[in-house]
Amino acid sequence: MMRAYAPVAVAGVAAALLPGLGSPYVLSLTLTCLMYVALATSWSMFSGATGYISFGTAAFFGLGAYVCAWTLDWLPWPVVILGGAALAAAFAAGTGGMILHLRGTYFAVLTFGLAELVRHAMTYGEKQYAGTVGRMLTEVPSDLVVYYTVLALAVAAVAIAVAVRRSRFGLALAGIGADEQRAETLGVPTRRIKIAGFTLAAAVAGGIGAAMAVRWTYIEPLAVFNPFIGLQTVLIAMIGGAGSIAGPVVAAILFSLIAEYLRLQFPYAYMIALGLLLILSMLYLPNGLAGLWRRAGRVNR
Amino acid sequence: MTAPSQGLVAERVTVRFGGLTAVSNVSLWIRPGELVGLIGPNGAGKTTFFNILSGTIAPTSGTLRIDGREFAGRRPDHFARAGIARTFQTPRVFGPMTVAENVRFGRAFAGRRADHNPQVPGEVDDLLAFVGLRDDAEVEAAAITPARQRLLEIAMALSTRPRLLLLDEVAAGLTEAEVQRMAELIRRCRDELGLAVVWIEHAVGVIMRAVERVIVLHHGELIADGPPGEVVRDAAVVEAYLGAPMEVAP
Amino acid sequence: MAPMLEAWANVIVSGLIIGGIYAVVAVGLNLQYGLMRILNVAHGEFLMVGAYLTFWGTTLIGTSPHLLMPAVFVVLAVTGFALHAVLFRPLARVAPNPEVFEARGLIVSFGLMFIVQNAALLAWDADLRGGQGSLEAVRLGTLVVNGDKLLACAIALAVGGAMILWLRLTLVGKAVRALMQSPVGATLVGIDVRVLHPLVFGVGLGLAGLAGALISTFYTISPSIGQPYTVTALIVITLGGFGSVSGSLIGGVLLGVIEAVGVELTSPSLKMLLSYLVFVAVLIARPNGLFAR
Ligand SMILES: Nc1ncnc2c1ncn2[C@@H]1O[C@H](COP(=O)(O)OP(=O)(O)OP(=O)(O)O)[C@@H](O)[C@H]1O
Ligand SMILES: [Mg+2]
Repeated sequence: MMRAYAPVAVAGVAAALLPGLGSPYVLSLTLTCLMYVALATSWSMFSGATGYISFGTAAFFGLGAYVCAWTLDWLPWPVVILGGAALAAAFAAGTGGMILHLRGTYFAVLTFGLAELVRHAMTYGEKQYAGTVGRMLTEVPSDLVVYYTVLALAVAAVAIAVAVRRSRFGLALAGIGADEQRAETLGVPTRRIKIAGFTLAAAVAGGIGAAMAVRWTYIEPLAVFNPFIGLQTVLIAMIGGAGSIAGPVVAAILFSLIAEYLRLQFPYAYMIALGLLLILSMLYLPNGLAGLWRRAGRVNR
Repeated sequence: MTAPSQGLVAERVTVRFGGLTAVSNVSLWIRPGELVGLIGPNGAGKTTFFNILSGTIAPTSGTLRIDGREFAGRRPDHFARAGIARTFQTPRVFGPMTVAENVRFGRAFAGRRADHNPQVPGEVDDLLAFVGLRDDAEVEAAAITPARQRLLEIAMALSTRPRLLLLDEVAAGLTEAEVQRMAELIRRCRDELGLAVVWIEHAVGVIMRAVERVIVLHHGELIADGPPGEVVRDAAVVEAYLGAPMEVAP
Repeated sequence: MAPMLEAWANVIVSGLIIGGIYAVVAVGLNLQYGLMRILNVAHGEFLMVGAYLTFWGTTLIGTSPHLLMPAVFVVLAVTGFALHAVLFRPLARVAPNPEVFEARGLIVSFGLMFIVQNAALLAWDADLRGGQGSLEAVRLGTLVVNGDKLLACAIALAVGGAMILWLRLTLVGKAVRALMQSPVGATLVGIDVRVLHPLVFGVGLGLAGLAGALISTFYTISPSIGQPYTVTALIVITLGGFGSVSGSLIGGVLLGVIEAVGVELTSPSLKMLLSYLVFVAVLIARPNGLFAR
């Protein structure tokens, strides 16, 4: 059990020391890694455990980014981040009550629709009230501050995932994933648990959105509500193994590295490779990387 | 009779699915510590009635009181915490978890309450021993035989430390000897743990020997409610279900 | 009063026409999901491929796009048949239960979406092509209607009607309907699911290609036109109910009219917002479709 977290801990320490050693390029690459570590880990914590596959991460991320755009000038940085997390969480709690009675594909499709709805609503709202669709960020915190913020969020996401897994709350989520109705007849207040899990995952994504927003100097809905953010989060978690904690972390790092190298030079080939990888992993590695090393462990024993 | 305040009281409960009335105007009272059999032909509405008593579905109309409090329309977890536990006709255990984890689950939720039934053991080990699954504790629940999964279902229900146990065809598909042991286990649930039990089964002979009160549903209606000896001679029951009067050993 | 009425009639008619096309965009996806629980989110990408095949066919061979449509249907249907055999059948074999199969199938079709869309970008670059249309505007009383759209709508409705007849009158169609009702129904009908599934998956893709061919007769095309049509198909299916073909036809027409009227009442920039609003609202309130009991 502990051994599985060891590589994660090592990676965390390495990431913390990195700003002293690495070039700005390495730093920015690591930042992307950390962002997806946080998103995929918090996603797995809820969606991986319960089977409620959400494509809505982009909505939470984007809301967090907009909180940053609205408040960066007049609120201290930590409050901006917390504000991003809070708005995303509030949105998840509000909509969760309405959508979490749907299961399976219905839920997956609905979260995607909801994220797109938020994006279009934001586009429209900003045009109505601010006159423009996008917003310029002028005074942004230093790269180092952003880096450590995202690192802290990634560490927090992993810590939350570990803590949840060991808690009664985590047990309830696992029960919902195994057989929701059975869990309910054994006394799990499934409605409240689902909303809480959905909200917690959203809070992390909102915080990440707020922190990452400053990487763009110009915030616009198409960028920060990009459905690809939600999609990529799901893919990373699934390829890593949504039932595990270390799996998505490793997958997030691998993905960001591959993406970084391929995406700029061969953008189309990159997406094709991504698609192939997805299909192959569903066919031959349905439990993700985590399933692979679990199987390897069994063979070794 | 004044309205009873102890146990479970259903009054004029009706369930409709579209045009089909699955349960029609059923009223009954399950008293604490009673061992009751529930019989009726296929599609009579027995499982649907359990679904109402456990909150899995809400009745279309009628009231449902547990120890005097109204429960109709509440969520299943409220019923579980109020001391009502059930099994499912096709066993629904958490396949990927071990047998012990399955039992620990209910203990961690409904079984945690302060007003649970103190006669039901709180230790997972004791519960597994009670149903006879101790040797399988660390086995994945999906990997044990269907007959044992039925025992596990009962252990899971008991893990909520209930006062009323609803058993849906827990003896179906078991061998003669296993059925006898199941009947014994159910009697011990009542005698040693002080539970009220309602037991659905098609094996009328087994039910009649095991219980002290029989309820008969037919086309969703309650057509008989009384001691086995009377029910087997009831004209309506004979016509609807038994085909011929049967004898019950005292 | 009269000009006002006429304007509205124009709006409704154009909504009806585009709605007829939406219907055929959705039918294939709905058949696939209804029968096999495969929500093929690459649907729009295959529509886009159909549009390109039509475009290149007409440009290179110089025939009318409408004559090419049967060929486009067949090419994509064969592709679908093969994809089912290579991807979804093995997936079904290893999935422990239908719920898991559904989730994995969804992810696999996301993979397909990436592959097809980006292969198209590699092959044909991101330029806009075609879309000039070939027919004169048609006068219906005092209304003036785009002739290409009208013909496309007529073909779409004919195809939709043919699908309904196919499902109702042929043995295979009856088997499909029986299977959509209950999985055990099919074995009773005596039809082999191992043939039926790839066949219907192929028909679904063929219909996507056909829809693309229709759209290419009056809109410009590019490799990125597919995804919005996947969304359109999802909205239509949600309106009409998952697994119901006639529901899809009604849902398509309904969406076309809702969009047209909504945009007329507000502004064109609200079209997508409106579509998603309808989509989300219907899914939340009536997940089995507007017309479910
Ligand atoms: N969720 C549902 N939706 C529609 N109809 C239902 C539903 N559940 C049960 N029914 C119908 O209600 C009737 C009663 O079913 P129920 O399962 O309660 O019968 P039963 O007495 O338990 O039968 P069996 O002995 O076969 O288990 C049947 O006609 C059944 O088809
Ligand atoms: Mg039953």
